[in-house]
Amino acid sequence: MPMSMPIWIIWLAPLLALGVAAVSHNVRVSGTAACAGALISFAMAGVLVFHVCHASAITAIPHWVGVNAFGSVVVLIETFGGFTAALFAMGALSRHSSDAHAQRQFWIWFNLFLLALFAIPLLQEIALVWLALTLTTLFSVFLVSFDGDPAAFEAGWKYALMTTLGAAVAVLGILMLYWALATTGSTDFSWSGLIAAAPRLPPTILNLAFLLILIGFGAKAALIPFHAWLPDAYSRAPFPICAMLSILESAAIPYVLLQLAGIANLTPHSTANDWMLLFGLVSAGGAALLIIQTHEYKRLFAYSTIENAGIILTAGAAATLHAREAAIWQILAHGVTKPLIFFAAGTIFLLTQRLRLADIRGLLSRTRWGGATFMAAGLAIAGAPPFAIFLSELAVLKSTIESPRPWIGAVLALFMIISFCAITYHLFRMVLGEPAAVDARAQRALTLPKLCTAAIIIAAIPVIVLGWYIPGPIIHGIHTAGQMLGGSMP
Amino acid sequence: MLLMIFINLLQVAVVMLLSPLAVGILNRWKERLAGKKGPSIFQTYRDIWKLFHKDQIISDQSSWVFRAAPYIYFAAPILVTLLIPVLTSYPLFFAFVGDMIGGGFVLAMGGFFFTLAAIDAANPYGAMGASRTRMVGFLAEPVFMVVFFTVCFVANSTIPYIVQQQWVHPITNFFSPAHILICTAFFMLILAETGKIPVDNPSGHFELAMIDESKSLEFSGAGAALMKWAGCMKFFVLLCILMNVLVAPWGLASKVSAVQIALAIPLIFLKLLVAVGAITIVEASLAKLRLFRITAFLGLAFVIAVAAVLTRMIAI
Amino acid sequence: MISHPHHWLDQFIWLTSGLFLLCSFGLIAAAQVLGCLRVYVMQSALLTISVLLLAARYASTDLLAVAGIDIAAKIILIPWLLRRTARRAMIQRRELQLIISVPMSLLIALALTILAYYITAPLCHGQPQVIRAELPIGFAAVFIAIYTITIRREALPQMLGLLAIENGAFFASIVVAPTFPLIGEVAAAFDVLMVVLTLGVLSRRIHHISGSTEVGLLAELQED
Repeated sequence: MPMSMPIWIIWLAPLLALGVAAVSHNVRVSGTAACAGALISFAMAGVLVFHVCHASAITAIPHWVGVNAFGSVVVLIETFGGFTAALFAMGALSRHSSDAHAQRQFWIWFNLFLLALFAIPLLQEIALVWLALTLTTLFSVFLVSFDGDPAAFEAGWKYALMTTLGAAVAVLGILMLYWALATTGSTDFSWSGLIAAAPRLPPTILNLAFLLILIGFGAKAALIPFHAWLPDAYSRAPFPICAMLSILESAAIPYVLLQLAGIANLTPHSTANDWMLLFGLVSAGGAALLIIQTHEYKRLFAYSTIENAGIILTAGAAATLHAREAAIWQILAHGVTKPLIFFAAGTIFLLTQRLRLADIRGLLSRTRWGGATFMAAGLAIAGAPPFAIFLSELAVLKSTIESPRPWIGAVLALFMIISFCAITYHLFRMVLGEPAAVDARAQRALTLPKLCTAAIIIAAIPVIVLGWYIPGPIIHGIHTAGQMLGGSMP
Repeated sequence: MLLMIFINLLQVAVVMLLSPLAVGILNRWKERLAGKKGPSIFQTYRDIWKLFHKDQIISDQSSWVFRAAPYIYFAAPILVTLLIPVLTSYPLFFAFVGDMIGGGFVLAMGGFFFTLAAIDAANPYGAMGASRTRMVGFLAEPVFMVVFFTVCFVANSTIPYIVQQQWVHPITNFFSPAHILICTAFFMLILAETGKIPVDNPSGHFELAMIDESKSLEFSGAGAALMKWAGCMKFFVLLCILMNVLVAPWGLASKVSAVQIALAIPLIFLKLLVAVGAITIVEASLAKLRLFRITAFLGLAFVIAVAAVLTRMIAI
Repeated sequence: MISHPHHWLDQFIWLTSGLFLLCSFGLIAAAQVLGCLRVYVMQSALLTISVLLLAARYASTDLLAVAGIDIAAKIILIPWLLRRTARRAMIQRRELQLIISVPMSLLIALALTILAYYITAPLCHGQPQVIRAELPIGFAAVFIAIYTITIRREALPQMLGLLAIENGAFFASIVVAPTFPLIGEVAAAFDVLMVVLTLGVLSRRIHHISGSTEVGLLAELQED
């Protein structure tokens, strides 16, 4: 089997699932196909990480399709999230009030979204990376507004408008980037081409290009102050879609931004790190404060996604090898924890039919397993030991404090403490204590669909494992990626 | 020397005699475009002639302003005629007496007295029209200023005779965005200043909706005739500035010779007919704006004018 | 400053950029949905003309293909798609409301234009005249289009604002990067069509479910 085979299979699997969803009228068949497709993609992503461990980069079509160490980690996160989300969605849809036609559409859009999402780290040509990122928005619009009520459409519209706006600003940045590349006489508009030309890129053009791309993709990743669409979109979107959007915003987009910053750092007089630091710190701090004042648990985790994206960018901007590695580690840890917390929240919603924090009290006394899972997942996302995020956040803090600008670490520590306290405060109020006065609707003793339970169990595995142990190939991948972002060609 | 004086007088005569014709042609074309037969192109002359033969009635409540206003309003465009190139591309006697801003002031003075007179007669419609004219005027003023400054910036001069050569030397200037933008802005200004659609409807008969027309309701006989004639001349003079100074100096006499001057008159008139045609199309295809949308119209003109400065300053 | 040889087409490129800027202002001032669409098509036509002029100037067949893509996607397909997906919203003749009045908005747009010149000044330094003409105006068009989106309340004008950003971005860059890979142009055109299709369908559903496309009125979702 050639080394590049897994790359094609990662695409082919959701494509086949898309075909099944398009022709089949049976929703269960489409759902199963989507799960199977994502599972195959996940397996292939694992193979990719393993290969990259030896070859450091795999090329399928030179300058067009290929994957480097960083990309392989990202695609691993995406495929894992895609698989568990498909599983959870299949279970949740069986309880959803929508008709078969709407559910069939759901699977079509879901597979299209996965195709675009997987394409981001696997494409090398920058213009196509941009296209893939834009398509993730357009394919997920109808997933966000899946519920079909006016509020869902409002959320979908805001989401589509703001993120497409961001993509349109980013296209200007991409074109400026190409201009910078063209002034060096090169026309190879791929990651490797950019790295090769990097020392000769004119800094004025490159700085402007990076800023435009940062703002554009920042609007898509809901960095503060471009986050207006995010709480609404998350509060209306189905839970598995929230998980996928979180992965898009805190793994795929930081991947693109960190790669670009790595290239910009190779040129003299680059301001890329300063801008990234600014946006990263504002997002991490602003989101920590937003978490305190929120009234819906779905929004709470949405803000936590912003916060993590901010932490990742800040660590990337600290610009030491260790900080970059910590940033990638944070991407990994957050990328596997976010699906778990959204699935756990999804089960809470299935059981209580409530979104507001104030309406949910005493979960533990109502459903023992549901409450405990939610509690554990909440602690995991807040960054408590012994879960994955605890270790990665610690790594981020350590590396930023050791960086040339140690105050970054101090500020980040403050933001992390604020968000930790805020999340656990809300969490304890929801889980512990006496149940609030319950109405008849919430009284119905619903059991969870088995698939949802399965999704939660599968999603919990890496969260726990990565809190104790990180497999060798992944460590190697993170290390290679960190070195590459620093500019040294592997 | 004598010829020069003659040319100067001829210039004034051309403006005085041909301006009603330009307005008549505009009215005729507008009706034709709307599918109607339309009045004769000489109808404006007949109107003015008729008004001169009617009695003048002046309210005993009004002051000297009301009596003086028609003469001042009539004199203003004639004075401006002396400052701008109408027939010749070389400067005449009064060319350096006042520049474009001076010409603007002279026209504004005429308008000022017209407005005063409208209030003076204490007709409620007059005061309403006056206040509306002032509103349009206030909004138009900054646009005028920016247009003039841009033109001066390009030509390093404020004298219209010098400015006009700038747009075709070198000929590439003719296609510069600044030129096109300035012409567009000034064209919009002419529509606003002479009370054409979409700012005002000159052929409307509903006093409450009038802007310009309602000011002259109180005038009769010779006063009304002068007002009407002066309005035609103002229109003609502004078109001259647009076509001769801003768009292009083609067709003007470049030597002091009788033949060239004689040729210039029909050429200039043809050029003005182009502008009249453009106004006809605008008037026939647009609807009158609501009063409060006029700010948007003139705001657009202002922005266009400033954009002209910008593109000129930076992309030169 | 380095002096660059003038090409006889430069003046026309310059002129096109002036008119392109004018269209951006028009997008703010247009009072009806159909008017917005017409301004957008006009702007796209100017973009195409500018691409054709540059194709002639640089003798580039790639740019000819780009012009072809522009004509097909922006001048033919988009108006057709919009008329199909959002016919009812398109033809209503009522006057659109802006959050900030037109004259004020125009002044802000003017300030944005100056900002665009300010930002691009270091980039334009020492560049040939065509670049100094088109680059700042492209940036200005992007800024003005973003501003248009924020002050419009209706779905379709907001969407046309989005498309205008893309126009501005390509107007700014086609002159500096005429060798931009064709695949990128195709990708952008494809993206524009997808935007129109998706947002068009979405706005039709919003219209269907709430009886209006004034998305600015949607305020159900708020953090209380």
